[in-house]
Amino acid sequence: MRRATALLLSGALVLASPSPAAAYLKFGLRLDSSAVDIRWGEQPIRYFITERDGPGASAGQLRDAVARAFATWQAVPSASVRAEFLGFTTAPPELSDGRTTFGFLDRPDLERVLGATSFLLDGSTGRILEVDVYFNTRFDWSVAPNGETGRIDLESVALHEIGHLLGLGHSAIGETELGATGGRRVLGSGAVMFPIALGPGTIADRVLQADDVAGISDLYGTTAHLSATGSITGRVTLDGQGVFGAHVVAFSPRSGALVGGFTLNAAGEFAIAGLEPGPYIVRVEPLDDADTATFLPGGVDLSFGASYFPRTVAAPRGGAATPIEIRVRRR
Amino acid sequence: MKPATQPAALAFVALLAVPAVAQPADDAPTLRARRLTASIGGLWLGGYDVGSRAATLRGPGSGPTPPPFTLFTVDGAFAGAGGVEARLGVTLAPRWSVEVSGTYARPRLAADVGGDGEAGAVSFEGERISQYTVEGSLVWDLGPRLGARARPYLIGGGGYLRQLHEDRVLVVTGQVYHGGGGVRYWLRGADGSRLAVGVRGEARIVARRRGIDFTGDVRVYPTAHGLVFLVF
Repeated sequence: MRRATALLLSGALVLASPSPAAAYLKFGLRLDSSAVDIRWGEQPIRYFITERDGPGASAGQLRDAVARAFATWQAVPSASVRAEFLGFTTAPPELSDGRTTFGFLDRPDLERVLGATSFLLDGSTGRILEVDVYFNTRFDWSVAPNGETGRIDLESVALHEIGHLLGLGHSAIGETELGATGGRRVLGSGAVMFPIALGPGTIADRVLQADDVAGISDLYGTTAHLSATGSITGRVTLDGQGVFGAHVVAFSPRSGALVGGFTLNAAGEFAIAGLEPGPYIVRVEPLDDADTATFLPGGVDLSFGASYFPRTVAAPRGGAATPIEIRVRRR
Repeated sequence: MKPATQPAALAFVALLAVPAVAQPADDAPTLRARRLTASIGGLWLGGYDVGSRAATLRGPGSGPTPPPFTLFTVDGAFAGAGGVEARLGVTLAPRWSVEVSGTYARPRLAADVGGDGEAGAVSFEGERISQYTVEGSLVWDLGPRLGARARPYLIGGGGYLRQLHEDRVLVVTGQVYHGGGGVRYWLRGADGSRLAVGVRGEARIVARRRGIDFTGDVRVYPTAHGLVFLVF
């Protein structure tokens, strides 16, 4: 008997809501004693579109926006992703019907959530059974080529949600400030997978950033990609103890690429993969640019200040650099 | 006259006096054809910038390219460093010779971070880079004498650059091109005899293409060389 586990991801794209900034995360599932990445084993990924119009965009325009967003992920040369549109459906994007569905959905209760992605997984194998992606009809949507003032760009949000569908969590490469109403205003975003949208009118999130490319290449990377890129690994420590939930960013002064990672255990260990070979500046900061729950479960340490590893670190070609230790100070 | 300058002045006078005694004025030292010359010594690499880059995020403005948000900026530079060098040359004609040289140095790649609103300004201690070059040069002995034992020359050439990061996990290659001049000073065998021995000093301007760099630009820096040479 197949045991199915419904897993609702925290991978919702929000508008000016509280959440921190970091690098790419992969969704994972613990099976027995081992952790497995949530990823599509069978491709192409076949999907349906709910036959329902939303504010500012028809179902047909949603189909086109989703197709363009899939094409953007598929165009990453270092990853192998394929998708296929099967047709329209009357089913909303929230039923456990075995169909992966994109569609508009009424969620007036979620004031700041633009869209969200939910998974139905085989709890014994981790295999993806179904993914549903909804776009909240509480917002006015745009499919204009250059965006529309006051409207949310549908393709940009679709690109973000498809990142979740493919298995990516949120990136924390971004900077925000607290707004007067308690939400957060984005000052800058370095990844499509950043959890807070740039805002109405902008179409900048139609273009994948280095962090997004590194993430998707880590999940669906080609053999050539793995042998052509390297990783930086190490620990973040505070008073000699590992720091959980620190956001570590590798910056290439040569290409300008920013790729991030997190310390994901009590030892403060991190790994940033998919880096073009070359010297990197490594910066660590607390996850204080959004709600920490957007990225990681509880226990995230926010008590330290931003810091740098005191020299450049070389990412090799097809391997890992010598592990480094970044010592941070309490702020 | 200050006491400290007197020995130096005397030495200079003595040096100038040597050629008048040692050999005729019109017979400046030179390397004879088909002779091999081996040189070994040290060099100094001048420091140079490797570029600046800003870590930017996409700003929230509307349109396809809203103004970016700068997270921090990085300025990189190689500090000056010493190294070792060996050369092997052969004289093709009395005033022309070719040389193959190899150098090794460990310059420090330093970086300054600025504009970071959270971490403040940071100067990195830098990363030691192991740098190797293999170059070929054409050497032309100039006519003007600098005494009976010294002869100036011009040198130009180019070669291969190999830079290895401190962790020894990544090699970066490039090319170097040089031009400059120097002086050979014979300590023994200035009359052209075999097993002549001397010292040579040289200054170059080097143009480096590729190699470790933040922006991929051609970099120019000076080098100075001091070697002992032996003529076979």
